[in-house]
Amino acid sequence: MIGNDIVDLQTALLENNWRRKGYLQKIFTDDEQEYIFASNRPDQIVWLLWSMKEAAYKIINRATNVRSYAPVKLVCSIRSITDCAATGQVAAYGSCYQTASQMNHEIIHSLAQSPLSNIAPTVVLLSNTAEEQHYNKYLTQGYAVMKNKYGLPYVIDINSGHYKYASLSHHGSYAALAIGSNM
Amino acid sequence: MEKTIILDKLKTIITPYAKDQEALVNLSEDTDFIKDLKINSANLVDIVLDVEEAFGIEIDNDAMEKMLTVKDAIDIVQQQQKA
Repeated sequence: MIGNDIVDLQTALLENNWRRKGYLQKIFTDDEQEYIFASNRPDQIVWLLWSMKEAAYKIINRATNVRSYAPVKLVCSIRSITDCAATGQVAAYGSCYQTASQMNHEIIHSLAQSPLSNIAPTVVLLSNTAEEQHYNKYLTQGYAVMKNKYGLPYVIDINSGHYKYASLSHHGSYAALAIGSNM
Repeated sequence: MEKTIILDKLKTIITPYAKDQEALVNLSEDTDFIKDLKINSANLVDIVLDVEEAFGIEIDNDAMEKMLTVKDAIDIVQQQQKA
């Protein structure tokens, strides 16, 4: 399964004041907070770690059908990081979720997978709209985005008839659709 | 504290973060912060912090984990005020 999350950094700057007293303690473990403050780009690292947690949560939510808001229980570690990409894992509830993130000055996008597949998921970055028909408009390659009765997205490969796991995320001016393996 | 008073205070707290104005106007105990009000999940922490300040209570991580709807928030406030 896959999960993804996109952060519009401009929107985050305007709407999410992570420097607010008590804010980080409710979201991040002590080690994660240390990692943020040791960095020379804390604004980016906060949202990198947050997007990793959100991406992993989407897999957990899909697997269990249980909603919860427990970001501290999703523990991030970074394996490699450059200016524009990061890999790592999120450990939660006895499982590990591998993550791959891309970043630039405008966005951070994280993709979580479990189990890790040989076939890399497709990630389609879009300018934002919450409307599903817009996703379908972009997917001229023969995919259609659908949602199940729980509101969870999947895509149909129109040519093969296969159903594939998918994850959708939108924030601010951006949206991203990740398409994974066959269901 | 009376439920209606808590609900009123909650509505004031929630208003700046709510993205769906119709759901905000029709706010009830059943209203879901993310599904109905379309609140960004990173802003849920702000709501938790605002609720802590407004009601003079502490919301630990176990309580926060279950704060998905307005009813959940009211229950947490009432439980904490009793404690």
